[in-house]
Amino acid sequence: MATKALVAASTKPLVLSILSYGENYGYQIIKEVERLSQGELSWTDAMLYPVLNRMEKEGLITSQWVKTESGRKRKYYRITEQGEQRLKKERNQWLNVNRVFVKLWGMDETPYVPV
Amino acid sequence: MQFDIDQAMRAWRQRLQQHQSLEPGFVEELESSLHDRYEEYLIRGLSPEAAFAQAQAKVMPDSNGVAHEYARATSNRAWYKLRLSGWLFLLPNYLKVAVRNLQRKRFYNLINFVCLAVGILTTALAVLYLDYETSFDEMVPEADRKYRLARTFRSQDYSVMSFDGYFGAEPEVQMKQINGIANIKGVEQACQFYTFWNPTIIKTDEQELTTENILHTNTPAEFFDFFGWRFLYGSVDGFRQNLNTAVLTASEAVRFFGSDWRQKDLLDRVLTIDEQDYTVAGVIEDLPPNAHYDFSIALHREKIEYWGSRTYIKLVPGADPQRVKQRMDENIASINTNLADSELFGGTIMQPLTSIHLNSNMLYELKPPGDKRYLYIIGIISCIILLLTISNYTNLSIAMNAGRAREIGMRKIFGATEGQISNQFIMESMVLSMLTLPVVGLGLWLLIPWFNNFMGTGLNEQILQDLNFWMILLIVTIGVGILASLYPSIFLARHPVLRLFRGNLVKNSSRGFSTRKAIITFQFILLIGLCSLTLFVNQQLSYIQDKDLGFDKEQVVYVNLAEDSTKFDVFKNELLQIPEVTGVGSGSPLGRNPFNQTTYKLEGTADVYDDAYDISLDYSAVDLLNIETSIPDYIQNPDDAPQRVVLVNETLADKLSNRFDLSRDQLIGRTIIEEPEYTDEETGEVGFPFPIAGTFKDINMFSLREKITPMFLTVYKDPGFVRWVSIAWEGAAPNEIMEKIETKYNALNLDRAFYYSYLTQNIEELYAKERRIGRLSIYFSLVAFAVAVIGLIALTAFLTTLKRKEIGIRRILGASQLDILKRFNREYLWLLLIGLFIAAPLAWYGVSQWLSTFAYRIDINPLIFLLAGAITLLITTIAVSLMTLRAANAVPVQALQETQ
Repeated sequence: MATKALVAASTKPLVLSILSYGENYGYQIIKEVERLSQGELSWTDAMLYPVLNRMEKEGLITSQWVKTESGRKRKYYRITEQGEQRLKKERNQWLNVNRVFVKLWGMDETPYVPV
Repeated sequence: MQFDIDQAMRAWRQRLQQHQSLEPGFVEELESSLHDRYEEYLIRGLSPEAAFAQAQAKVMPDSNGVAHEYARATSNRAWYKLRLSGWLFLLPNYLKVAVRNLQRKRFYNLINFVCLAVGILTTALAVLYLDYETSFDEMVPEADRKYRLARTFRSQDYSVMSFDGYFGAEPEVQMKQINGIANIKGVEQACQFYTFWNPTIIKTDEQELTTENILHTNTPAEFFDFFGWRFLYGSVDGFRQNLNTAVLTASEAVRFFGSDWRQKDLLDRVLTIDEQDYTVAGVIEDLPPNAHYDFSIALHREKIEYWGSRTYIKLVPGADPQRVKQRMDENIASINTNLADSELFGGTIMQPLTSIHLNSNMLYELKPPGDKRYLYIIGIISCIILLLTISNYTNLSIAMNAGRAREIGMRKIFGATEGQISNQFIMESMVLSMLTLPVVGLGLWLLIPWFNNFMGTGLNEQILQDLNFWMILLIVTIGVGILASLYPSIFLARHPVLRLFRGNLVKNSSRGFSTRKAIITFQFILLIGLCSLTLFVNQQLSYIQDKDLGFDKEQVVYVNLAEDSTKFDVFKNELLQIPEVTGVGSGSPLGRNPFNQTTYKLEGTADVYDDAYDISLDYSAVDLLNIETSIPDYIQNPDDAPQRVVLVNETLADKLSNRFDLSRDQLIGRTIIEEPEYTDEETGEVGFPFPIAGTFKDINMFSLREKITPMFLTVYKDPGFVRWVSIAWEGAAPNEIMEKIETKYNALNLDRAFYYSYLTQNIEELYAKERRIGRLSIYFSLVAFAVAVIGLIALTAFLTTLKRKEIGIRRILGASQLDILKRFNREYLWLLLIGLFIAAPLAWYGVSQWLSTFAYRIDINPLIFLLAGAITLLITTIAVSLMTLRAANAVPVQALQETQ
């Protein structure tokens, strides 16, 4: 499990990114992130749902209760326009940081020489 | 059993809602997620139960944190996001609610306030007293290295070191002794002095005053260096360099030279004492009350006018007191040859300075020593009162806050954890107890001077100005507040949310075990214990007052004369002319502290004993004291009696009879040799022999704590030197007769202070401590009862409001008021009986410990316990009935009309 700070910082962009592919529900999001991170990021419900709630309050996503085939209800989330814009911003910030790391950790073609 | 997923889900949901407070939407979402996970685990092949368990774990690993997480994520308040501790955030709200509650339930809160104030006040007083008693002599610098040198002689410990030659020791001999002591390896410094308590006339060129507690020393510099008494004027150099100088304490300086003595140049003033002039060399601060001795004026003299001195030594750092004592004993010959040669000398004792007050049991103590037992007694009594206070608060608090069930319920719905709720109640109690601080301060300000007066202690009356003290008091107050509310707050916080809305928190059933009953039983135990203790103590005290001591103690006074027999005869004749005087005599005064014993043996036998006391009285004194003797003829007709006869008391007669198989008659005429270890150098006579002329009935000469021991009474016709004159009178008031006696005394023109002491006074002084404890225990018992009764009244008031409907129905069905009263009181009767059974053995143990310090004491009468129980029952019944009567008098219809 990554550090608490890292998990906290990455939750919002991850959710927005996943939702940008289409609507989804809580448990599915958790499973997807776990799969993509190969087990590194294993969120609990108690952690995710409050965040989803917050994001909804901020207007980045919307939600909707949907009845499933078996008669149960499930809350589905969808990204909004505002959410898309926020996602773009977050994406740039993360990529910027990533670029620096790539250079420093010698994964670039041009080797890094400390000043 | 088939695993029912729906049932499990319902149960999970219920549990979640009971302990957390979450919006319905959240719960549904969590539920949905739980179901999804459960199904996935099923697909993976787990059993339904295992799948559910796993899913549950995944959803909520930390069951308490869900609400917290939600709150954190969804809260808008910036500071809350900073993870501020819950109670700090809610502090303003708690305070507001606390104040609101104080205003609403004024009756209960007032009672709690009073009880808390009393409890804290008593605890503070007890702590101050304990601190004072344990702090004796700690003000002396380097007190941990300082010791008093005492000695064992015969079978007694003496706090006075004798001089070689006793009264006759020359100054060089006295100095040799103290220097010899100072030269022992390990001793850094030694000093000696003696204080004379008897009033003495001191003359200046302007006036003459009577002063007590004059101190003689011939080690002036060491004395002041040892104790560190602070000079306000002058210095130790003047005192040290010149013989026959005096240092006054500040209050003596005021007495002699006025309160402006600082402006006067005192350094060359002369004080004349017993025809010797002393030049004033300085003034020191008054001695603090917690020093183990006191003096008014210190005189630097060449010789200490006494048979011994009080010797104090200071050890070098790192010296082992045991080794030093050994060396001292081995080298005693270089210090005091008399002791070295005497077979009665049992070695020196090194008493640590700070332990003298509480641990000293020696002869000739300076101030009445403290007694550790009394520290325990006061400590226990104040603990009892504090416990009563706290238990009152607990009971009342639960009762009082029972009506706040809905408030607690609402808080829980809004997300309060149990900890937060109990914190709230603890805080309310702390607010209340901190409000008591000004009252406690006022109470202490009033009580400390009274306490000092009453107990003869010296508690610091300026303590209220000491910041440290207020800090400690604050901590104690907060502590008591927390302790008192601990149980009720946890009790109130634990109730599950839904039940809070259903009914009242406090069951009004009177059957079965409940905390309320346990607390009341506890209070009964404390009350009955305290009550029986007080009864026993006071019973012993009146026994002491009334016990026959073997002589007539009423209407006898001792007047100090200190003159030879010619003056005594003159005085006696003058006194006998006063019509109310019935007898005048001389000899050892009775009613005093023990003094040194003497060794003796029966002539012709080998056994030497050392447990006898020697007293002497003239024939008239024996007569006026009405001591029963076997020689009444001589007593009545002293002119026909021999010059000197020696009687032994019955205890000694029995002892000798039994030991040597002699009858009483055979004893008469046998010779006793006193001090057989001493041989007169000139005559070769061993000891002091005398024939036994008769016996006398045992008398209690000392306190009734001491068992009667063998005693020799020498009855003589003509005294040599008379220190005390005993005068018996009747038919006049004490001050009338003293006026007449004083006139006769002044006619003798003795140029000495006139002082006297009633025999009853002497005896009473022996029991000053016990009397104080007797009265103190009465006061404390009254306080304890008041606290408990107040609590009981409040509790009953509350219970009657609960049971109003029940009372109404009973009245309608025909119960009389008496029936209602009986019913309510019955509940307490059982509890009181249980309390009695538990308290009686505990009190028995405590009282018998205390009584065992008296050689003559009452038997512990079990009826006293019943009496204590009856008193408690009576007071309880009155308190409960007063409250119940109000409810029983209410019109039943109105009671039933109320909705709960």
